[in-house]
Amino acid sequence: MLVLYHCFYNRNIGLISLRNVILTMGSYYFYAAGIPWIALLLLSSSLVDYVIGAHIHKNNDKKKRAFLLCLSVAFNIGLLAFFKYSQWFAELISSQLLGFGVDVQLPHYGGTLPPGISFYTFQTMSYTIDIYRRKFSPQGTVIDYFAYVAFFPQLIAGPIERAKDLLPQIVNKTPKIRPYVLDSAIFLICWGIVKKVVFADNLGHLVTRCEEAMHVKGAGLVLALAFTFQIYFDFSAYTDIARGSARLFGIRLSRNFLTPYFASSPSEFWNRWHRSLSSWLRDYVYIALGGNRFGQWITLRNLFITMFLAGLWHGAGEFFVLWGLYHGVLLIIYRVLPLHKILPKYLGRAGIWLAAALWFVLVVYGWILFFADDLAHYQRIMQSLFALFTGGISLEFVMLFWGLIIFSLPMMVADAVGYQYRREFVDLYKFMSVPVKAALYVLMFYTMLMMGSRGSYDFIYFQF
Amino acid sequence: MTLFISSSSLKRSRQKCLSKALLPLMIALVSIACIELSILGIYGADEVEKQTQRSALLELNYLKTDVGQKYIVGYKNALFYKANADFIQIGDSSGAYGIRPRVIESHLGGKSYISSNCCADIGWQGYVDTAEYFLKHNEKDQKYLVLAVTPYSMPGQFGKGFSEDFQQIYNSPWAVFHHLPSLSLRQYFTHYMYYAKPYQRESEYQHVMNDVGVVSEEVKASGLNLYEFTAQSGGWQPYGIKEQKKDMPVGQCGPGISNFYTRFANGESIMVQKIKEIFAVTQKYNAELIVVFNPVACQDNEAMLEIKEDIRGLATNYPEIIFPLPFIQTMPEDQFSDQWHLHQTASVDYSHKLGNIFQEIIEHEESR
Repeated sequence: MLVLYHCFYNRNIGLISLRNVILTMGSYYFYAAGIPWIALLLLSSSLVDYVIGAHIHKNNDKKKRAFLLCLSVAFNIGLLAFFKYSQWFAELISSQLLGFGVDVQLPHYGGTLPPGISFYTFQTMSYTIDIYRRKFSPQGTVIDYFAYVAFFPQLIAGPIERAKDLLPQIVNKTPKIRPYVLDSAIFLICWGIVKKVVFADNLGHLVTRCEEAMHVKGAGLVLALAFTFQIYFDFSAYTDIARGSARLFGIRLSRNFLTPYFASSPSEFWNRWHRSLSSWLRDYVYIALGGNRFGQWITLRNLFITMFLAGLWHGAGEFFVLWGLYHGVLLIIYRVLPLHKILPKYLGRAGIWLAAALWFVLVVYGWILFFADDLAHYQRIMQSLFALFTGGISLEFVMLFWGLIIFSLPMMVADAVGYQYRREFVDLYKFMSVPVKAALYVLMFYTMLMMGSRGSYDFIYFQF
Repeated sequence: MTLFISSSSLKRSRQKCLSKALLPLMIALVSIACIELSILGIYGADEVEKQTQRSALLELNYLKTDVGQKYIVGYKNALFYKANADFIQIGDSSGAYGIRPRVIESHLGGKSYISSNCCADIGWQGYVDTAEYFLKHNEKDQKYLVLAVTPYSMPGQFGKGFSEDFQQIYNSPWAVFHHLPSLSLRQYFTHYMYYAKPYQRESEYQHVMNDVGVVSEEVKASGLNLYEFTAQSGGWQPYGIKEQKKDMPVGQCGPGISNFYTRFANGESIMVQKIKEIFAVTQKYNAELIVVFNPVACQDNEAMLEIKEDIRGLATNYPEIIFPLPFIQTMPEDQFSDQWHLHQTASVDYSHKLGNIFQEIIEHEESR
């Protein structure tokens, strides 16, 4: 597809750009190979919002514009509600009704969640909302729009791209891929693969080992830390591969992570972690609710609702919602008591590190909530975690902890280097000398060969 | 931190030339090639391949015990892949325990016999890939492939097992990446990195003997480790009497066999299709295919008719495939360790029986 894309880069049929026809068809094939019907979902979401977007743009009547926007939002939320949440809601309501002696099974969708639905519905909604707010005007043809929505590198697990960022790149004839771009694209893809296969997946195995060894004092702590790093490496690896792949098509996707575990406050964390989702929620939920314009209590309410939705977005489960609410509470606490400012003020440099360490601990606890299936599971993890402090470190714990060091330290050192330069480590690649770049490739190759996980995991965020 | 950043400071360097832009990657590829060739030169191709064989299928994941059967496959591949045997046996564990290569060799007039059989876990596709793997490394002009399976491991019994692993590592286009010389050092590297101690083959042998559940008590009693025993026996492993025997089906053969005789959506028998694929492999490498089904303790009856009809059809359409024995060969219950396996004493007589049959096949083939 890449070859065809570049071969037909400058060819058009009327207004239709052939390269985007190839991109759209290739993306749909990538998405729906094996499960054709899910392509209809993607197509319907794209088509509905394309048509609605065009009508909003043409219409000057405020009420009609608002109505059309509501249609778009309702359609996309409806898709999500049906495919992602209907089973959960149905079971929740059924169990509540059972408490009143009413035994009823509500109809719901019980199949597999269509991949990427949480991402592309948000992407298409941002298109219509930005047109409604007059921040963006539709451009290009319907094919260009389909290519924007279905662009395969970011279709399944983001980044959630705004139309104003991605659509012009697809519509306009951006300069063809330059050699230095090709160089960094290949590195991004290789880096992402190594991060996933060597570090994320091995941490996944370690999490499983911890679950099997919950009787070991401290296994819960290793599990929490291992999952903390696994989810970060896994998701950021996908983003690296997505961004690298996009660059091969001459397209720049937005950054989704920026050394998030070096943050020292919730607001800084959400500027560094899954940035495309957090900025989406900020722009389309928090600001739409009023943001911080209507006083402290309204601001706190808006933060709470936004983080509730952030949790809910991740999945139909009580603990996902709890995780979101937990972060909402933290955002509120830090607004009232900004520890990331107080500690450095009184403790100087030590205070900066303490603030970062404290925030990291809070994040790790949040991931325990995110990881737990239910209350019993959560309790088992916490009991094992706190058992470490009742005395006695066993050899089993040391082995588990050693695994954590092996599979998290190298990547976190790379992140630390990136943090020093206020970038990601991958951004520093272009400044490296040729021998260092070559050595890095050799190191990545042999790391993957020797330590690459056999028996790998799907990307975690595919399930959302 | 600035040590590894080029002297052009933090300005973006815009390589305009493609070859200059890809220079680091090209240097890396050349470096990797040099490293691989160096390892090959230091250890020799044979040692590298044997070491790679031993660990190729193993996951060697941190703190995780590998499936024991993978050690059996790895050891047999390392020992026999270039043995140039006249008879190569593939199939499931019934052949591993029930057929003794050294006994059969006594009938073959100097010809050699090896058993690569491991387990039904490798799956029926795994038998096809094993056939491909061993025959492609066999330089003999005239050779025989023996598919030895039990009626109790029909395709529906174990599904794919780890056949996909085998296929990817040995026969896929990506197989070359599983046989790089540096992979022969993988066990050493992971042991040192993960467990802070050097890899020692003896420790692995002890681990296989005691911890993974694939070594019989009789092998342990021999004083040899599994690798040594396999080399000595030609791939046979003794099997004693097992607890499972008390539930062994006697009487009429039934659902334990027929329920797992599965078909593709188009109605074709999976077993028949796989035997055809194995036959195609033997044709490619100029070998003869012999199919033998392990004896069972149950009695043949109408429930087996469907399977026997398919085998008859296969034999008619492919007369080159040799079926020297019937699908159901009933033997007394006391010959078995469990429903799948003959015990070690019974394996002697059965191997002599097969040895005579193979001798006749050789004479018949050579007289043509």
